[in-house]
Amino acid sequence: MLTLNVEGWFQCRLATDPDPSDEPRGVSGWTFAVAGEEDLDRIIRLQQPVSPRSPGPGSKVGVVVKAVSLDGQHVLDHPLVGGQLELLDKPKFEGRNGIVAEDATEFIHPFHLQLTGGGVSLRREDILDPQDPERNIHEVDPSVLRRRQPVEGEAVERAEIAEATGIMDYEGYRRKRKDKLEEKLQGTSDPVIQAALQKRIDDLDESLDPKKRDIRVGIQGVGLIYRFAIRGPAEVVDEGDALGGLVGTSPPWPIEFWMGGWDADALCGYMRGRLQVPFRPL
Amino acid sequence: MIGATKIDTREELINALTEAAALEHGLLCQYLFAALSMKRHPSEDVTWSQVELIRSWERHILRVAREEMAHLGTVSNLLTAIGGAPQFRRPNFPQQARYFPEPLEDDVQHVEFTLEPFSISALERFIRFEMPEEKLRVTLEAVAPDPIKYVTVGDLYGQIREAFETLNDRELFIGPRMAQDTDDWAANLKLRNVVDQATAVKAINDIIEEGEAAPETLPTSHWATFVRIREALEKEIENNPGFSPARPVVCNPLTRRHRDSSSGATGMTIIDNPDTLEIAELFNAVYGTMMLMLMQFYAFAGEAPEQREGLRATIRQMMSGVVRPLGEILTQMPARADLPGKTAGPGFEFYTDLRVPSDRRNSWLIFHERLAHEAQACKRLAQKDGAPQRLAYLHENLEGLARNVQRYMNLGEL
Repeated sequence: MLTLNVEGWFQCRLATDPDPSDEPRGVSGWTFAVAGEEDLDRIIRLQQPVSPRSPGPGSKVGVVVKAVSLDGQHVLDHPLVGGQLELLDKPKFEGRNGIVAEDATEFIHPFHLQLTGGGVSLRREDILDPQDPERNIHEVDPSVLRRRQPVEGEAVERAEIAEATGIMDYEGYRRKRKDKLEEKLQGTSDPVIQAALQKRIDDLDESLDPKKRDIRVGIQGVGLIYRFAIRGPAEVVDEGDALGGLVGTSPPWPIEFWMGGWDADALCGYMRGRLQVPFRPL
Repeated sequence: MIGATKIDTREELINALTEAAALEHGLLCQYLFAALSMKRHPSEDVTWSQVELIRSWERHILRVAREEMAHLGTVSNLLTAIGGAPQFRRPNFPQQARYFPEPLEDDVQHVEFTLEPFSISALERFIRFEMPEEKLRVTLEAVAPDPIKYVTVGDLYGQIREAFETLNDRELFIGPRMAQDTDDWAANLKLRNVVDQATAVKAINDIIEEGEAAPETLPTSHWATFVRIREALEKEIENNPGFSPARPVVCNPLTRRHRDSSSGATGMTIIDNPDTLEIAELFNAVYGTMMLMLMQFYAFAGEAPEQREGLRATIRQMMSGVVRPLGEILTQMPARADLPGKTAGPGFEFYTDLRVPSDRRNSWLIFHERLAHEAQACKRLAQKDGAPQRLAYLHENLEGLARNVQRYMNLGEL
C-alpha cells in the first residue's frame, strides 16, 4: 500500500450563517468579499487561490505531498513527493444553511481528487450515492451522505492544528494581522484598497472584542476530520513508468484528513491527511 | 408612559401582547425590506467605499430584524405564560392608520407601516418606532378601556410591564411551564423564558432596552443603530449629493390588493410584470408556509423533541435559505411596465387568514405538501428563459426542506 501524506493551506471564499449559503458578498455572517474582490463562490481551492489576501496565508495556498511511504517504509525519492493535490470540479463544503447538513457536519462535494508530480497523475472521484450516481445532493438520503461527513465524536488536537498553522495565540494572531493592515492602510491612497483594508480591519477589530467569545477567534483552533474510501472511477497516468509498479484502480482508496485552523480574515484554512493507494511494485 | 392605557385584566393584557406580536412582526418585515433593497455592487452606480458603507448598514439592519424575531418569540412566551395563544398574524402592508399615533394639534395621525426602500425617510420612521419615551414630549388624551394606545414600541411594552407588575401574580400565570420556547435559534439571539412575574418583567425590560436604550448604555440598541445609520447616510449624501444607497425599489410591491391594507402617503404598487409576479407569489407562499410552521412550533402540540427540533431547524433554514434570497431576487426584477427602471421587492403578503389544523399530523402533511409544491413552482420558474440564476439553487433548497419535513414526520408519532 502506498501512503501519501499531504498538507498545506487551502482557500475557500464562502459566506457564513446567517447569510444564505449562496450569498455573493457576505453581509450578516462573519466572512466577506471585500472591495475589489470577486464574488464569493464557496469553491475549495487547494492550489491557485483567487484574490488572495495579504498579509495572510493566501500567498501560501498549496496542498502538497510531504511524504510517501510504501508498506510503512519512507520512499524519499518517490516521484510524487512535492506533488500537488487538487480537488477538481469546483468542490464546496455543502451545508446550505443546514438544509443538507448542519454546521460542522458539512461534506465536500464533488470529491474528485488529483495528485500530480514527477510525471505521474492519480485521479479518482468518489460518487456520493453509488446506487444512483445521478442524484443531486438534496435528493440523496442523509444516511448515504453520512460516510462523507466529518467523523462524529472525534476532534483534531488543538496542538496539532496550532503546530501545523503556526497560529499559537489565537487573539494575538488576529491582533498582529490588524496592526499590519493598519500599517498598510496608512501607506495607500487607492480608495478601493483603502475600502478593502478598512473592512478587514473592522472585522478583525469586532472579533477581538474582549466581551465576546467570537467564532472567528475560536475557529482557528478547530478542525473537521474526514475519513472515507474513494470508490469511483480512477485514472492513473504514468507514461514514464516512474511509479515502478501497478496502482489498483478497482479497490477503494482510503483517505483521511482534517481541514481546520480557519483564518476567517484570509478565507483560508489548513489541510493535513493521508491517502492510501493499493500498489504492487514490479 | 405616554399612551396612558391602563391594562388591568388578563384579557387586556393578552390583547396588548397580541398587539405587540403583530407590531414586532410588522417592524421586522419593514426592516428586512429596507435591508434587502440595498445596493451591493459598484455596477449599481456606487463606489467600492460606498458599497462597504452600505454593507455595514445592511448588516446592522438585518441584525435588528433578527432581534425583532427573538422579541416575537419572547412575546409568544409571555402570551403562553398567561394563557394566551401565540400570534403570528398581522394585517397586510401598507397600514396607514393602525399603529403609532402621532398627535397633531387637531387630530391624531399615525406613523405609516409601509414597505419602503432604504432611505432617510425609511430611517426616520424606524427611529420613530424605536424612540425612547422621554424623547417624545407628547401626551395623548384619555382613552377608553378597550383600545390599546401607545406611541412607541417601548411605550406599549411599558404598559404591558406595568400590568405584569400589578396583576395578581398567582392567578395570572396559568400557562403550562413546558410550553416555553427556550431554544437557541441562532448565535447571539436571546429568547426569554417566562414562568412568573419576575421573569416576565425581566423579559420585557430586555426587549425595551434592546429597542430604545441610549447609545452610551447599549450602542447596539435599535434606536441608537438607526440614529447612527441616519447620520452616516446624511453625511454621505452631503459629500456626494447624487448618492443613492438603495435599488430603485417601489414602495409596497404587492401581487394584489388586500382588503385589510390601507394605502397612505407611500402608496402601493401592484406588480404586473408576469415573471416578477410569479416570483413574488412564490415568496409569499414560502413566507406563509414559514408562518404556519411557526404557529405549529409555538402551539406545543405534542410532537416528539426531535420533531420540534426539526421544525425549528426548518423554519430557521427557510429564513436564510429561501426567504431572504427570494426577497433579494425581487429587488432586482422589474415591477411594472409603466414604471420603467423601477424594481419590485418582497411584499410579505398574506392571502388568507392562516391557521394550523387542530390535528398535528394534518399540519405536518400540509407543511410537506406546501414545500413540495413550492419546490416544483420554483423549478418551473428557474427553467424559464432569462430566469435569475439563483432560482435553480433555491429550488434545490426547497426540495431539501420538503424532504427533511417528511423525514421528521417519521421521527415520532403524529
